[in-house]
Formats: sequence, C-alpha cells, structure tokens
Amino acid sequence: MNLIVHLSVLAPVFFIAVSFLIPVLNHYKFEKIGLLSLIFAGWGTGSSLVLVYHVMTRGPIRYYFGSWEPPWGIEFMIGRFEVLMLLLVTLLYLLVIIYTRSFIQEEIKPKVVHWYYILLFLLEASLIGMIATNDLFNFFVFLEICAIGSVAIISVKDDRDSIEASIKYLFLNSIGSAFVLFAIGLIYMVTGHLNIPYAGESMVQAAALFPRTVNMSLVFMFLGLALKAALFPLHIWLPDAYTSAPHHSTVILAGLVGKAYIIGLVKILFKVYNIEILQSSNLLSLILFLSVLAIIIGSIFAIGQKKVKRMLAYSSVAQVGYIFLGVGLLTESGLTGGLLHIFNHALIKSLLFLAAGVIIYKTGIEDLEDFQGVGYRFPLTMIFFSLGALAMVGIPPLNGFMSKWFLAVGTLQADKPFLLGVILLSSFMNGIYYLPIIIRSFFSSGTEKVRYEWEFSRLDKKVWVPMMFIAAALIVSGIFPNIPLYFINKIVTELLVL
Amino acid sequence: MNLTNIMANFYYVAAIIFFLIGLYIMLTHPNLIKKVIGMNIIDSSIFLFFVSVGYIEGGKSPIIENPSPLTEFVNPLPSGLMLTGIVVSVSITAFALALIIRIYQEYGTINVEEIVKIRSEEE
Repeated sequence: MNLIVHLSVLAPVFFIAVSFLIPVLNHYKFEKIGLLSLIFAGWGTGSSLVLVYHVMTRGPIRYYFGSWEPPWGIEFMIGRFEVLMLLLVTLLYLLVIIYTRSFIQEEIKPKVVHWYYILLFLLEASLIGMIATNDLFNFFVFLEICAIGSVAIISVKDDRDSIEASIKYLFLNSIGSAFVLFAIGLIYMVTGHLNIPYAGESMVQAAALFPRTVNMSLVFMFLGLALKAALFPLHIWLPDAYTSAPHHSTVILAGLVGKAYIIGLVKILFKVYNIEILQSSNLLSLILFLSVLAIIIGSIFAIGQKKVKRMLAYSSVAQVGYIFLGVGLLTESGLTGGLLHIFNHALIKSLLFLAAGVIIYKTGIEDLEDFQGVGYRFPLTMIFFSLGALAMVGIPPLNGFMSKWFLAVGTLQADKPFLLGVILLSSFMNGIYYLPIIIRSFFSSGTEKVRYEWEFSRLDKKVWVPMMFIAAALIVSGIFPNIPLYFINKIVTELLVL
Repeated sequence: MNLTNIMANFYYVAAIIFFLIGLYIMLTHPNLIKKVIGMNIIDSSIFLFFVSVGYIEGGKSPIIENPSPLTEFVNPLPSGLMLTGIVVSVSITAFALALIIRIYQEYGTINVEEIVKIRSEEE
C-alpha cells in the first residue's frame, strides 16, 4: 500500500520524466507516441483514483519529500478537496488526449506533434504540483512551469494570431509570477516559514507586529494570482489566448489552468493569512466589487461577440467572477458554491470547447451567425454543446444550477441581497447569448434539411466518447451534487474555521 | 518612518525602486526586447530583495566549524531559493526571446505599436 501512495504522490515527477522521455523516443523513430501518451495519461488517472480511495478510507496524505519534515522540507498535502481536483485534472487530461489524437495533425505541423505531448505533460505535472503542494516556494516553481507550459501550448500552433496572443500572455504571466514571488518573499520575511500551515501560525503574531508588510504581501499575492486567473480588469490576455490556441489546448487552458491558480489563491488567502487579516484589509470588498464587474461586463462582452470561441472565452471571464464572488462572500455556502463552481465550470467549459472544436474543425463554421442548421448535420455534437450551454445558464438537473444555488444562498447568508440580483441578472444574460445558438442550430426555419444525420459514422469515436463522458458527468454531478460536495464540505469548514 | 530607518533598510528600498522601474518599462515600452529587459529588471529586484532578507550585517557564511553562541550567520535559505528563481527567470527570458524572433519573422518589426498598425491595416 505504501508503495502505491509513493507512486501516486510522485505523479508530478512522473509526468516531468515522461515529458522528457518523449523526445528521446522520437529521436529513435518511435512511431506510436500518441498511444504512449494515452497510456501515460491513463496512468495519471489511475493513480488519482488510487489516491481518492486512499484519502476516503484513511484520511489526508501528508508526504514529506526526502523525509525532511516541515517546516524544513517540502510537503505535499492531499486532502479530500485536493484529491477531487487531482481527479478532475487527470481525468480531463485523459479525455483531452483521447480527443487530441484524432485531429492533432490538422492543427499542428506534423513535425512538432511530439513536442506538443511534451508540453501537455509538463503542464499536467505543474497543475498537479500546484494543487498538491503545501509549500509556498514549491508552489511558485510549479506556477512558473505552468506559465511556460500554458503559453507554449498556445504558441505551438505557430501562426500569427497565436504567436501574438502567446507573447502577450507570457509578459502578463511573468508580471504575475513576479508579484507572487515578491509576496512570498514578504511572507518569508515576516513569518520565517515557507510551509503554509507554519507560515499561517506565525502570521497571527506577524500581523500585529508588521501590519504594513503583511498587507503589502496580501495585495501582491492577490494581484499576481488574479492576473493569472483572469479576474475582470486583468483578463485582457484571455480572449486572444483562448481564441487563437489550438482547440485541445483551449480545453485545458479554460478548464484547468485558470482553476489551479484560483485553488492556490484560496488556499493561501485562508491558510497563510487568516480571516481577521482579510476582514481588516478590505480585500474581500475589493474581490466582491471586481467579481460583480467581471460577471456583468464579461456577460455583456460575450453577448457582443460574433465568433463562437471568443464568446466562450468572454463567458469564462464572467464565470471566473462567480468563483471569486463565492470566495469574497466569506460564508459557508458562498465558499462551497465558489469551490463547487471550480469543479462544475471546468467540466462545462471543457465540454463546450470540445464541441465547438468539433464544429469548427468539421465545418469551418466559426461565426455564430452561420450556426443555422448545424444541429441537423451534427446532432450529437450540438446536443453536447446545448447541454453545456444549459448547464452554464443554470437549468436545474445540470450541475451549473447547483453551484449557482449555493452562491445565491451564500449571498443571503452574508446579507447582501444586491449580489443575489447580480447572479440572477447574469443567469439571464447567459441565456441571452447561449440560447440563440441552440435555437439557431436546431429550430431555425430557414434550413431545407429536416432529417437528422447522426454523425456516428462520420465522426471518429475518439471525438465523441470524451464528450459523452463529460456530458454524463454534468448530469450525474447535477442530480447527485452530494458527490462533489462530499469532497468540498470539509475544506470549507477548515478554511473558514467553523 | 524617518531617514535613519530608511538608510538601515536601503536594500529593500532599492529592491522596490528596481521593481517599479522594471514594471514601468514592461508596461509602457513599445519595444518587445525592452519589455524583456524590464522583465529581467523585475526579477533581479526580487533576487536582491530575497537575498537581503537573509543578510545580516557582519554575518558569516553558515559553515559551522567552531560553534560559539556569539557568531551570527547569514540565512542561506533565501539565497538558495534564488538559485531556482534565476533558473526560472532565464527560461522565461529564453522563451520570450524565441517568441520575439517569430514575431519578427511574421511582421518584420518588434515594435508593438507598429504591429498594431499592421494588423489594423489588414482588417
């Protein structure tokens, strides 16, 4: 059993090793790199499942690297919430790699296909590391690997738009990393610890002695990670990056990369700083203000977009606002809703981008205007797209409803009914930009075709099986919200010290 | 915050000033190479900051030969961390420069304002 835990916890090391193995294999003319990548990704998913079982039966895992105990050594802490996020990351990765293999050749030059897998695995290693680590500097190292990996999977497409988007993203990312590193320096200066719980313990005393330094570190940390997670006024890199990236990269960027930063921010805000510091610094009001702006302005921009990927990108800006809203409310349901929305939004946005990718790749249709009748030609894909769209709007049996419900209860618990109005208004606006696509593709009268042409024979199995899997997950986690909540509840009570 | 206080902590003041200079260059300069230079100035300012966190005036390097309670040692951890920081900074710089080469191949210029102009003419 112990050996299995070792193997599972060392997943980041495994993926980094794997990603450097690929160029070696390629050098010796190894043909089946796609298949091998699938096996590696499957291994990652398998090890997450082992971790889920282990955490559920035996409680959280604390893993000390090289047996150096904290506060000296680097520590991985995998509790229930982390394990859910690890499962999400590895499972989505497995599905995306299955999906990728069918039409990667069309989007990326054949010469660089194996490089693409290197980047994917480096990014996966960094995401797992960022979620699992319990050490501030280790978090920063994974943050930088993630920065390079996420920019590289955009620039791998190697055309004008993607190169320009990626250099913009890289510069803003490096500013964000610099802010985070500076904040870590300030935290280390006042607390003398890099391990998150130990820094949190010393922070109580430090906040009384050096209130200015502590506040400065808080602001730097928040700005750096909010820039990377694309909270509203700092979202300027996001639409270009998501639009110009290859379709499979967009799924990972939208579904996972932004989320990992938010998870890190939540952990640091509540574990390193404590609730008194957050309340006295007015940061929470700032978070609430920015998230309301993000929700409303993101939705307005999304309504104005003509291209499907750009619209989905602006919709992401609004959804990041939801997550931050849940964090800023500082109530039990609010934080539950925010964390649940990390999980739900990752699933919904991946499904939407996967389906949009199929439509763009198979028909070349990018403009929302041209979606007329697409539902007849690609009924299965458009059903998945519609499921995602309806979940985004928050129609009850789907999972988007549950996170919005918890957020709404959270606003009432915090006695801020205005924010409830914002949530309702934005659900309405979500409807304005998602429903016309469904109506246009399925019910528009101008189409001459009346017979559905199911695409099972035309579409590769590798494309629709991952989508079906995510769609099933949307419905299951919508009908049985207790499954994700089982993993989330505990960390909420821990973070809010209830 | 009097003057002696600032003089005693002038490493930190210098680090903050360099940080702001780098940030200003990154945000305002249209030339992409100068943006990369700004990025490196920010990173260096943080290295200065970290190393000065661990520094003690007159402190010795932490190699304990004859331990006596009076010797003060410099904290080696921040300097050690910055080795990683330098590696990270170098790799980001290399990647940025590679992207700039590609930008130059596409547009024939590395000036952001000119690139925006070329793009607006195309559309």
